Amino acid sequence: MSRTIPNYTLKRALNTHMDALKNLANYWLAAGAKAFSIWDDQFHILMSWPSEGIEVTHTHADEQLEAKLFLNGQPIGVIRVAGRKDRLQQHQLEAEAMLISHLLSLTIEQENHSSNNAAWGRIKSEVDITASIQLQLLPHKFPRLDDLDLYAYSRPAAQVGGDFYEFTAQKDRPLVFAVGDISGKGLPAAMLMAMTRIVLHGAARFMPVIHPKAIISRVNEDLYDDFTEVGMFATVFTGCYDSNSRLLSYANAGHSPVVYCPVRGKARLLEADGPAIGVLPTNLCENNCFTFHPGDVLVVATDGFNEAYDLSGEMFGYKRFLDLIEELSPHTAEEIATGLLTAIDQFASGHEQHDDQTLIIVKGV
Amino acid sequence: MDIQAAQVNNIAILKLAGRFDAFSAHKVEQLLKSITTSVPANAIIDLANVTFIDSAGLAILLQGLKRCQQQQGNLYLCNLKQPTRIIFELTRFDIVFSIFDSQEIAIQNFIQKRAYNVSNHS
Repeated sequence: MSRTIPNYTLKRALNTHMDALKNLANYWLAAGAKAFSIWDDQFHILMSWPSEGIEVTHTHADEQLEAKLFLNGQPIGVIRVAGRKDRLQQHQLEAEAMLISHLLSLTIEQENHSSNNAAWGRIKSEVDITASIQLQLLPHKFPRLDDLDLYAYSRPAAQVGGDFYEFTAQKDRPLVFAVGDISGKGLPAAMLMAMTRIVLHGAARFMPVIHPKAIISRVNEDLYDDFTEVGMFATVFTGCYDSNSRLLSYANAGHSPVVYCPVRGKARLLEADGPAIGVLPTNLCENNCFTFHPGDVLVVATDGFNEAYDLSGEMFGYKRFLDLIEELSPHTAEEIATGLLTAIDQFASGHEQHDDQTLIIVKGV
Repeated sequence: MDIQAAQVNNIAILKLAGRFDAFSAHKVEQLLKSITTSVPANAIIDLANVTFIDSAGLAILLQGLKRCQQQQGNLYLCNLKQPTRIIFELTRFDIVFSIFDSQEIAIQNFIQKRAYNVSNHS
């Protein structure tokens, strides 16, 4: 079998993303995995965590997950996560492997052709692929609850951005939903977006007692150093909904706009009480809680909505956004989302969308 | 974006004008990087004529603040006008930065802190 790239090139490319890979490994270990390792296509081990104490060998298939790494369509290696297979998520590992594959191909490409301008065109298209993969990674099926109508949508701007949304639904646990926006654009934002989502999802799935403040604190503690390293931050809104009590609790880390429109009432902003993830070593968000009645609407959007511009340079702004939600609130979650997107498109009338636009609509039934 | 740089009492003062967004953030980032090579690194960012700030602008200020603090200094903001102030309040960056009404008050604050440190160490 012919090797697509020399082993040292792969290893060097992996090293470029060491911090991100280490974080990924730590996430899996925290989620109950015994080991996280990366191998080349000849079954030589390239990296593993924990770095000592555990023998990383070819374990029985029931006790590990595997996802292949690709370069230009060729398999170049494999990620292995050892542990109880029923507790770990195959699709998540595959999604991560896809993202890592694309980052590796970008890194290798950049290294091979750093002086060659023509290569930048290809790199650009790789970046576009990364953007589309990211979008595919967002959940397209939303949890079904008897007393909630849910809808979510995200569309990226021309350049790769860092918006995301997330749902975690588990039996006998409250529904967790989140919307986030990583400051900045390009691959660093894309990478941190993936990491934030992974840590957030892990916290929502595995923390013994879940409430929004605990989830936000956990994400901040895990990723504060990474965000500081790259000079970025992430605004994140996290909500938990308990069907038994109809209580909706939320914590808002610097995120806006979040709009609550009670049935037959005025729409208002749910303002953040603490700054974004990555800003302070300890996050200052608190839990806020209220009863979510049938007909109530919650819209968690990103600033791509209120910061959309028309041709004269005027901004859409919060006032229009609130009024529009009030007007659309009798409709279904999906219709509200479509109504908002259409209104923004009409307002911008052909103006290039310069920031990602992402939203979750939650409506009481 | 227009940037005026000055130095008063070993405090770097940047006065920014216009939109502080992804397209203009780079210039400020470069300046802040050069400021934060000294110890202590003290800076004041005057936002009087900033009409709009987005998350890229906020990220540059945050990075500047963290770097200054690493270099035993601080980064103060002053002269926030209404549209900018609202963004700081909504994102809660208003509790992260020390924000003053004018450059003079911000400078006074640095000088007082310096005097306090000197008296404490002597």
